[in-house]
Order: sequence, then structure tokens, then C-alpha cells
Amino acid sequence: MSTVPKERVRVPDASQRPGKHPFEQLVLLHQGRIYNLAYRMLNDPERARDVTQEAFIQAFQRLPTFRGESSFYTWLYRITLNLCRAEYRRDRARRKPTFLSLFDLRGGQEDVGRAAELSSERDGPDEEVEAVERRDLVRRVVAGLDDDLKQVTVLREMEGMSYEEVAATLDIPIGTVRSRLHRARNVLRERLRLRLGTGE
Amino acid sequence: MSLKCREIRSKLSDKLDDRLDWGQLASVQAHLRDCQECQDFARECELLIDWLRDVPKVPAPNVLPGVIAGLAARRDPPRPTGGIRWRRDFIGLLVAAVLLGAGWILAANLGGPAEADPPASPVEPGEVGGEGPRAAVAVPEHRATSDSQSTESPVARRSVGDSLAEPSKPELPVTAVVGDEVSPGR
Repeated sequence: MSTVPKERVRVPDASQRPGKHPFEQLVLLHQGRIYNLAYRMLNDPERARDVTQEAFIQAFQRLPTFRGESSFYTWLYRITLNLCRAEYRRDRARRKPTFLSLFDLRGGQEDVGRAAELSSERDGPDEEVEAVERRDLVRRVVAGLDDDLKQVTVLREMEGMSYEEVAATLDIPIGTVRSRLHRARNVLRERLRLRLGTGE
Repeated sequence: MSLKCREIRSKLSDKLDDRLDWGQLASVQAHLRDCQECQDFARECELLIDWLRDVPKVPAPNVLPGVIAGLAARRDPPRPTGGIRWRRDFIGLLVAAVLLGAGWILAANLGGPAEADPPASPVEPGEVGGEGPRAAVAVPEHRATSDSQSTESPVARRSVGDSLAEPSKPELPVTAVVGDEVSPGR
């Protein structure tokens, strides 16, 4: 876990040597996980990059208000998830199909069915290609979940957080984490049912 | 699906995360041994979780330059807000208007066309109704219209000044408006 510089932090300067400033070190340390979190939530590399960038900017600006009650990492995750939620709402308002819309979800179901047929027809399926295809499908189906369900799924299943960490990050009770996770798994199982039923 | 199956399936999520106590776990396991449908359900759930955990991380771009640029941009002083901009524009317009007015007045006084001296009034004070100073007053438009309609002939209506300015047409009968009265032409 990273330590947060307690002193008043000067704004990093582009003229400095990269990585010299303590906050720059934090960016370099966490950008991979924050980007992946945003990417899993948004399923859009460009937006994920923008959200990651904005998360660090907001983190720097709010650094004096960080009281250390949670870990810096959890705090940063919360900022990122809030930005992702804002993106999600903005996107829904625009009706722009970056996230899986209902239409896309139907398409996803068709993809699942088609993939299941293909895998049963293949004599010698290329396992690697199939794995790539399946991961892409899972990513899309997860991205199509409702925001609340998606958050617990990403944090628990993909980020490997414990129930307690998920609860702390989302600031919700553990019982809510359990029930949301249960609902999310049911939805995902239903949407991936055809593919899961092939018995891979 | 029986009530027991429904109950067991609601606990499967917790079972997969090892969050059932010993008694609950024993109950679920006992049911799974006897129920093929719930076994399939449990297997799908396990496979789903495997798949979710199998999604790899993607390589992240370096966002540090963008973060530094973003922080630098927000550190710069903010641009004037709408109200300030409006006041600034208004003052600019005001100054421009004052300068324009001053320039126009200056041009009128220095370089403007020389005005003809006011003609001497042929009407002596007191000659027409005794209102000499008002004799040089031009004919008001509305008045001219109403008067022309009231006269019998198309009489050109002139002010006293006009009649003097055009001495070559003395034959025209002139109706002069002097004050509020109409006097016949000479």
C-alpha cells in the first residue's frame, strides 16, 4: 500500500524529471490498476484513459482532504468509480451506445448462441482464439450490467477484493455487497447461459 | 423448481465465496448430492466465476503527461466570468461612443459646411399679427398638409425665409405661416 505525502504537495511540473515528484510516483504506481478498473467499467479504452487521467487530477486536488480513514488505493478507486458512474449516466442521457444497450445485449445473446454453435461444430477448436473470444464476450456482458451490479462484480470478481474491501470502497454494508453479487451472478449466468451450457 | 432448490440456489453464491457457516454448508452439499439440476446450476456458477476471474488486465497507457498537463491547465488563473466580460465590453462600447460623439462635434465645428446667414426677415415686427420673431419659423409639415387641403388653389406654401431665398419666382402666391395664423401672399 502506498503512503500518501502528508505535506502540502506542489503541483508537478512538466519540466521536472518524470517520476521525481511524489504524486507522480503514485500515478505511475497505480495507473495500471485504475485504468483497468475504468476499462472494465466502461469497456472503452479511450474513455477509460480519460477517466484514469481525471481520477488522478481529482485525487491530487482533493489530497488535502484525504484523512487516511481508508487506504489511498480504496479512496482512489472510489473517485474512479464515481467518474465512471458519471460517464455512465451521461452516456445513458445521450443514448450513445458505448455501453451495451438493450440492442447490444440482444446482440450479445446472439453472439453467445453463435459462439456456442461454432464451438460445437468445430472439429479442433483453437483454444487460444476461443479463450480470447470468450474473454471479450465476458467483458462486454459485464459492461452491460446495471451500474450497481457491475461495480460489485468488477471489484469482487475481477479485482479480487474481499467483501469487506468492496463494502469499504462503495461505502455500502456487507449485506448489500452479498445481495448485489448474488443478483449480478444470476444475471450474468442467464446472459451467458448458452455458452456456459456448452460445458467448456 | 422446488422450494428447496430455490433456497439452495440462493445460498450458492455465498457458498462459492466460502461465506456459509458449517450447518448451511452441510445442508447445501446434501441437497446437491441428490439434485442433478442444482448440480448443473452450481457448475455453471463456478464456471462463470472462473471466466470472470480469467479476464486479463490490459496494458495501460501512461497517463502521467496528461495528468501533469491537466493540473497545469487548472492552475492557470480562470478567465473572466460572464458578468465581468459583460461589464468590460459595456465600458469599451461607452468609451467608443463618447469618442465618436466628440469627434463628430469637433468635425461639425471645424470642417462642416458654412451655414448661410439667416436672412433678414422682410416682415417687420408687428406687421403680421405683431409676432415678428415667429415669422422666420419654418412651416411645420402637418400644418402645411392641412392648410393645403383647406385652400382653393394649389398654392405653394413657403416660409418667409423661403420666399426671400427664391426672388426669381415672385409671381407665385405665397402663403406664409406666421405663428398660428395664415396670411395671404403678397
